[in-house]
Amino acid sequence: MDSVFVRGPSIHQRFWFMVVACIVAMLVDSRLASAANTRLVLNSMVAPIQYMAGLPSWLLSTFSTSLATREQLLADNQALLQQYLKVSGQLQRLKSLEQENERLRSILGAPIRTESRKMVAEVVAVDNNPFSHQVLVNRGSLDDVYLGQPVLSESGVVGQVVEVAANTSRVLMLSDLTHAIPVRTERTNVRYIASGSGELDRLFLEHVPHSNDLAVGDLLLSSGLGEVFPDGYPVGTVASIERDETRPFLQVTLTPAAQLDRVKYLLFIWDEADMADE
Amino acid sequence: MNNLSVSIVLSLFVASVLQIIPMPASIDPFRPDWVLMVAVYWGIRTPSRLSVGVAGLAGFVLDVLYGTILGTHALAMVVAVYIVATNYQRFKNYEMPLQIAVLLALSLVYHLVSFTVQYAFTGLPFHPSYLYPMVSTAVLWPWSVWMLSKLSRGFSVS
Repeated sequence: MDSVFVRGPSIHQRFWFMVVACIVAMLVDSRLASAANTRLVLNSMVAPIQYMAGLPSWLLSTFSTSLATREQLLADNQALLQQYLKVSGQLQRLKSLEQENERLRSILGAPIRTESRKMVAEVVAVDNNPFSHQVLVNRGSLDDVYLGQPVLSESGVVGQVVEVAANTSRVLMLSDLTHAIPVRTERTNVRYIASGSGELDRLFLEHVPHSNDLAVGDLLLSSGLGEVFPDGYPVGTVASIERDETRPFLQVTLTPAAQLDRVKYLLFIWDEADMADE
Repeated sequence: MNNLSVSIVLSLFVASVLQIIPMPASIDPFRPDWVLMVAVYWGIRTPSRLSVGVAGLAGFVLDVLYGTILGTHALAMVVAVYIVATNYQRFKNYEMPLQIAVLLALSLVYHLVSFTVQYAFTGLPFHPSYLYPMVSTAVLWPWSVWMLSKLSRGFSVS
């Protein structure tokens, strides 16, 4: 039973104290970059909750894979073999192109690009804030994941790492409102910035003058400026262009190359040029 | 660690797990505010001692789980629980339909505060689906009260 006379600060004092504490936390977390280290510790502390939340879907997928029928496995096997053969063929051509590229670069005196390190990670099936487009991945600082590391899927750029914990990390996707990536068109090599729209299937191209040569269906690649994303990975294709003369810029929307609403396996890359600088 | 702390921590743990467990995209907007309901329950059970602090801590945990700026959900929880904890005697004596209506209002306050903070920091557009959880929270309040009182009786909390 609560005693009638209570010692300690009153509930009103406690309330205002908590309000001030929350506001201070907000300001610190949004301004100070050092808050990222605190996040690392905090993320590791809530790991049990995330583990429990991911358990049911993990159990279900383990069950379904171990109960797959023989016919289904044979069919899956065949399909994977076909895809493997096709990709191996493409890889052979890529290797010869890379060698030719190296030769041309050395002739021109340009620096040779080395093979970058890659790692596959899986998206942990945990719900996230509906407002921001982030996914939790099962690799962390123990796997050499670092802040700002670029992340791809098999069809294009997905985003960058914004938080790192010991065994997990958070990836901010291209479609998030607060994200922007420097891009260039494949066709004309003109540089733009593609920013998130808040919707998973759309990106906006910022500050495009009316006179620029853009067509629906143009492919945009990452341009490598800003030193976060390496050059040449697909970001999206132009979906629509609105020419409104009363506005200062064209309204261009892109469809992201990667299927952001169904990311499952992600590729983390290390940019060797970046690592050499550090 | 006494029985009260154990039941508070256990109920908050289960509520946090339910809050982030994956759901189909069609049902997800209607996910009830489990952590808010648990915090409100403890707010009216032990108002003078723990309510606001527990709410703030639970809110910080939610911020870490969601990846939002630390303090957004904490502030929303603290405000909502403060409103009910300062009137706990009146609230405890309300019949269930009135309690459900109060939970509806509390959930609205909670979502509006967390939206406002995120709007202030990231300029988020508002979407009416952000408020859908109000309904499920209010509807599931009686069941949550029943479960939580069973839990605390099991731990023989006074």
